[in-house]
Amino acid sequence: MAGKAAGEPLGRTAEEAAWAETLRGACEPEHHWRYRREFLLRNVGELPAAGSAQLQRLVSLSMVWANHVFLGCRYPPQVMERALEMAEGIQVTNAPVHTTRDELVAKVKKRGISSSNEGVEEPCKRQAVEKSKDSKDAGKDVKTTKAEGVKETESALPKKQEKSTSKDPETSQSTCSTDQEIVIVSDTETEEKPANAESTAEQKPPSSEKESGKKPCSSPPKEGKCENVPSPEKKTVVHVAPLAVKSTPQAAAVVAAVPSAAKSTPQAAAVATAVPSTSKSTSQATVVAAAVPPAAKSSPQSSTPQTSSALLSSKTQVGAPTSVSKNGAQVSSSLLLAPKSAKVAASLLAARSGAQPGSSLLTSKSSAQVAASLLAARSGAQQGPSRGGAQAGASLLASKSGSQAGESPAKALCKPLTSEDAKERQPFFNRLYKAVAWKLVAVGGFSPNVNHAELLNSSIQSVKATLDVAFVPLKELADLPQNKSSLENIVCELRCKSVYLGTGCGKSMENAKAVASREALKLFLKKKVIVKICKRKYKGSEIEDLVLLDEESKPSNLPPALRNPREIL
Amino acid sequence: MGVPAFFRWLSRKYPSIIVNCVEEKAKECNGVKVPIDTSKPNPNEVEFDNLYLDMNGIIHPCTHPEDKPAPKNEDEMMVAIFEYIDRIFNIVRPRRLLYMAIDGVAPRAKMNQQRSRRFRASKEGMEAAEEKQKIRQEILAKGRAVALSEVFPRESPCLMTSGTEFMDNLAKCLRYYIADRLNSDPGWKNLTVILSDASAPGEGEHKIMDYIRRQRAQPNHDPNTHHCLCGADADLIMLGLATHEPNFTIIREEFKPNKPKPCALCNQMGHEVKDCQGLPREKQGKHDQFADTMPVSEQEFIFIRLCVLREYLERELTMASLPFTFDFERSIDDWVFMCFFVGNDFLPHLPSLEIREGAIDRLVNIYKNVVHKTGGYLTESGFVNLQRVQMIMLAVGEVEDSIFKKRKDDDDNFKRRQKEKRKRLKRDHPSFIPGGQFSPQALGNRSSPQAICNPRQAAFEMRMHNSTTSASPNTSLTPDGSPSLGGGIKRKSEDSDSEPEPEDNIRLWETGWKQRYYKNKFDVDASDEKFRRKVVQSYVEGLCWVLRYYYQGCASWNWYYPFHYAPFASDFEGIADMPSDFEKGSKPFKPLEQLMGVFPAASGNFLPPTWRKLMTDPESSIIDFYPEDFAIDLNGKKYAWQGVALLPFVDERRLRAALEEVYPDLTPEETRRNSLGGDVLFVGKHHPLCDFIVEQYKSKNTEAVDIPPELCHGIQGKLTLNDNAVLPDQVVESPVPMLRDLTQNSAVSISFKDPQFAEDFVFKATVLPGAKKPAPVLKPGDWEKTNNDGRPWRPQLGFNRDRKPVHLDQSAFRTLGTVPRQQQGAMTWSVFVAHAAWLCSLASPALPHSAPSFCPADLRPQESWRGPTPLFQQTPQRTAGAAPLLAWNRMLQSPGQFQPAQYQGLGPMAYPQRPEDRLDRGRQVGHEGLSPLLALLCCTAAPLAPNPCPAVPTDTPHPPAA
Repeated sequence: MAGKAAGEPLGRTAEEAAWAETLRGACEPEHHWRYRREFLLRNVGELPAAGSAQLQRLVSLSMVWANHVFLGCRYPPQVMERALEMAEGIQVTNAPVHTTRDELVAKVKKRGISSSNEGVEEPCKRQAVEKSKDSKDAGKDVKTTKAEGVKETESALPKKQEKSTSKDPETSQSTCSTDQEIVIVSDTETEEKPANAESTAEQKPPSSEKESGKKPCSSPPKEGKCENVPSPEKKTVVHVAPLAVKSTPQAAAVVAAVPSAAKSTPQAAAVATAVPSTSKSTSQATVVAAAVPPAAKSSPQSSTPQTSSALLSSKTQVGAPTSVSKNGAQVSSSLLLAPKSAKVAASLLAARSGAQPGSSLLTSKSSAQVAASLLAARSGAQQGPSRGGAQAGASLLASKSGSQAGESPAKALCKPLTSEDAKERQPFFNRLYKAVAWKLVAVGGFSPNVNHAELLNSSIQSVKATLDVAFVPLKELADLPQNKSSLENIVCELRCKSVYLGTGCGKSMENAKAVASREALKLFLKKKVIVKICKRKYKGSEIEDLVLLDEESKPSNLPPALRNPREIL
Repeated sequence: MGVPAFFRWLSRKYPSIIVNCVEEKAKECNGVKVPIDTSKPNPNEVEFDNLYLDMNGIIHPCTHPEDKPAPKNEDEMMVAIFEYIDRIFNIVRPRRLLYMAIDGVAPRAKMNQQRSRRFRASKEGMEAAEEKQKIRQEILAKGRAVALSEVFPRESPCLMTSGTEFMDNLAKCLRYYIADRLNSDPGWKNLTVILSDASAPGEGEHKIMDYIRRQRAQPNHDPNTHHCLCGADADLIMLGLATHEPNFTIIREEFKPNKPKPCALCNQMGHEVKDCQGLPREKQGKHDQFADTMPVSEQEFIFIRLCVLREYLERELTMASLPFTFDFERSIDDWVFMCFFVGNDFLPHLPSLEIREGAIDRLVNIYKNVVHKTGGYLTESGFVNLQRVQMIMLAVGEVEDSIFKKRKDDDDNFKRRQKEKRKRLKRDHPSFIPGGQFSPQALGNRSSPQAICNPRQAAFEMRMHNSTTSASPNTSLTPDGSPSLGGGIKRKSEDSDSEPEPEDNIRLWETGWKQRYYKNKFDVDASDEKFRRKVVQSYVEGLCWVLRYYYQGCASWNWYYPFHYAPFASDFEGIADMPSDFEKGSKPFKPLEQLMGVFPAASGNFLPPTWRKLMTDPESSIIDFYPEDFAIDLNGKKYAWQGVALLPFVDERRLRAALEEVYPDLTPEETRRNSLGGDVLFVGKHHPLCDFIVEQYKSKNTEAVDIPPELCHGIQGKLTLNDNAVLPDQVVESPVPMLRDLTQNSAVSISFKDPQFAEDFVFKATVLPGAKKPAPVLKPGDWEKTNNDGRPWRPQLGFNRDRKPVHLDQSAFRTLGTVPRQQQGAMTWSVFVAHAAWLCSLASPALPHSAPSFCPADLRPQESWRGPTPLFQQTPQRTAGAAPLLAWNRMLQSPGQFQPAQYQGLGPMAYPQRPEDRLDRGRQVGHEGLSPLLALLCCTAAPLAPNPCPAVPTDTPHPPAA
């Protein structure tokens, strides 16, 4: 399509085309130029005189946009915003994916054990957006489009969110500058569009939404809520809107996809991990990782009408903080845009509970059932999850306010840790210490040959308590070195009376548990054990946690938490 | 050239090109440094005529020295630069010309590289500053004070771009420096000095080349001028070869990896920023007098002798039975050209050619095969024959596939070996420890081990034990799910230290690599033939441009390679008819324009405010040139700084258009800084040219006059009066507060312009008629056949073929009494010097007159190095039969390879003997008042034995018996 489409810009006069041709860069690849020309023509209005300041600025902004999309450059926020605004409605397929220098450096630093890596800006992926250019070949496009964006997506966003909640101004700033794009699904009428988009952007922080006309919409309450509900015949277009850039520092697009099926099955609900792993079936997912609990939580707060939608509310109930946190799921949601002949944009949410990874409830293939709406919140003030109709409602929450909203209920629920909490558990662990000591004596002392898991478990049982075990695939553990070869590994965290004992990693759950138990048992080899409140990492931010320590160990260098300790307490 | 590995590769393959510098150190007397007299003969036993300094190669080591603390401010830095130049001057001691070139505005082709460096440097600088700030706060929070140290700002690479105030200051300071030295230093007395500052367009090294090229092309040039070029860049070697001057030497710092660096926060050694504790500095010495001494050795210098490299290349490139006559000079040009494929500052290197994988050797082999078919050389005087180049490239293209496969294999093998090695190292105990009665015993244990009894039984038991333990690792291999403890632990540890690999989605070793490469790197389909052709054409243009740049000067200031990646060698089809000419009359950027072109917005503080605004203002019409962050493609590398920075290219027209509006905002000072200037020539009052120049000033002759070549060693050029000149009897003000003004100046300066030639003049890449080939250094290939007297080959280590090795004989060592025998074989130069110095000190009280001649540094008489040599150095032979041949003794006598290595450098010992030398020596030896020690030396030196060492002339005059 590169060759042909470049020839004639649709709907342009020859004059305009000739004018544009003078602005072409000597070595611009054909399709890059095609997009940039579109950008120029859309924004030019009257043809400016060659050399006029207005023209220069336009050319410059077109380059800003092209450099951003094709080279991966990032510009100061205002510039980005401006360019992306102007580019609304231009659909870029197959934009390349780049890692910016900041991300690269941040990654490296994360790997390092430097004590000073707290403030490191998290990599946050540019999300290239793919759209079908026009509705006619949309179907085809869906197939041709490729996964954009984010390859190692997972933890990036959740982490960021955590971070921003921690209110570190630095980080929130940095995140602000890194997430620039939001995906807006809206209708396109080429002419009206800019205006349209403008209005949506300005008035309604929550973005426009798009509906699949043909689709059997199973969720009656929700249709047509948005102002710009497009008529079904219209083409679907995905806009790139500079979302977070503006005011909300960390705008993270959170997508919660709640397949109806999942909702109804208690299991799924309990797990709260609706895991539509779309990326599997179609490669077009733009993946955004998000923490489910905040998303779920924040949805009630957001004042937009959509929240009331049955699906969503049910979802919220289901995903009530507690239940979610039970499972300690780190959720990363994958956001998928499949603009299929005006049908579907699906946003998918991958929930990552270690227990059931990859239960793919939704696939974009079955897009008939999926409607996803993507929501961009421009102002941090409010955002509404907008939902696409159909059985699956995908709600997408974006932005900081979302995460803040998410955070506050969590805070309300669990009071901060006090030394009381630690004190009150200390006697128990003193008893446990003795129990372990005796068990160790019985097996002839601590050695690699002992079955540590068994020993620890029986000791704990003997003092009338239970060992809590949590597993998470290593790759979802944001704060560990990301390592390809170890991706299949599983991390295990042990707690007892909600006090952290140890972490281990292994090929299988058993292995991981054994390693974790061994680590935990090592604590009991010194003169005594102490329960303390220590800082640990959790999804990139520091949180307080109750930790069992021996008298010598330093509370630094604790492995990251697998579950949010606040939710456990 | 952006090929860090090139020099390493070269010096490994051709080791004899390296010669270590001999440096005379200033002596101290009562705390006062006695300046070195650089008019004395060169201690390296060679005399250089011209010294060229590529100043940017000097500024960098001065701002971030490895062997001393960094300068704290600009003034200190200037002084450091002066000292550095002094040091090099002392080593090289040029006799005719000193040429200093500061980088001016670079051609557009270079700006892309500069831009990517500056953008990265600015980011790295900010990160480092942040880290420092954070640590400092941490330390402060702990209640400790940080020993604050002011270190020169890290983003100094940005400073060193033509057009900044710093560069302007540097030029001023250098003017002062030159005037000062011309007035006071005897070594500078007859020197012509040319300063080409940042206002003269062109990169430093290329300005130097241009100078040499133009001098060579004029009839008065001395074809046997010995050039010495200072700089660390690998492409200086190419440039030197491209001149075809027979005597060309490069001097550079010796590269020593892994030197400790001071902490950036407190400027103390021993830790890095992140471990900085903010502890106060410990006092060095009783009164802190050693505060500035660092526990690292001083940076040393090496010479790279291009004439030796030419010898090597001659051997390597000579081809028999060519269909055309073999011309070594032409084949050198081809070699230089092929090196460009591997990497240069202006083009990304071809993906298949990696210098670490022996790409140059591969190219040379292909070249030798193909050149039979091409019917001629690839290049001529810097012009490329594209048809022949195409043959070479396609030949490379044929093996490209296998190169990529092999690269992958090597990479995998390497990783596997590394993994195994780590595993091995991790095992904290040896795989087998004998037990029982064979078990190892700690040293010093009182109880002596028991006697061995029944060893067979014990061995059997150990064997059995062994098999059981070896079984245990197997358990860890049980499949997943089994509660295998060992497995879990082991795997975890392995995982944790294998580093994450950057993802490679090109996979050059798998079929379809070309499509993937173009798709991923250029974002075009492989089927886009037109685009690919454009890339190839640009690359071909680039090759032509670079070669022309090296041989003829900058062909076009505007040309640049407009992509971030190179095409494949196999794509170079049908390039023969591609146009390779460049638009004529292109103009370089102005200095400030170039700053706009290469600086990121964060470095805008070097620019006037309205200019800076163009970099940051959202309304700016060139805002797209200044991204805040940019993508880095690791391109198979591991670290961010190795990757390719995907920065947008600057559109020159738009840049100029945008700048037009802000030009009126420049202050007069900035306008001056922004103008392009020329070179300035300086001479002292003893120089023959001095009067001529003063005359020009007196007559106020505003027209350019030619330099009378006879006044200036055949240097030619045009002189015009300089507005800002240094004039005799006028005070030269010191730009640096800590240095005094020159009140009694007698130096004079004047603008200098290289000889000009017609635009289409072609500088011939040939050896000039009348040039004498320097004596060969390498061992002749047929040495064994031709030298039937059986003398083994003695490699040459310095500049002087006949340098005599220095020995102390047995009695001397006995006298010294300090050298344990076993040390002899491995005695190093430093040990020897210590001994020699000690010997001198012993001898000097008794020998007040002749004492100086014992100090190696002072061996030379005024005239030249042909002078007398101290006795103990002249006489390598020992008295036969006087002592048994001891191990070390034998070694001294046999002319083995150790000999010169250990003893070279003591000073020039054996230049060709001439009658007057002998006289001299006789005179000196006959000096009365010989101490017993000297007498002893003389005695033992009497050559009663047949001379076993061929290197020592047998006609060494016998010292008269004392």
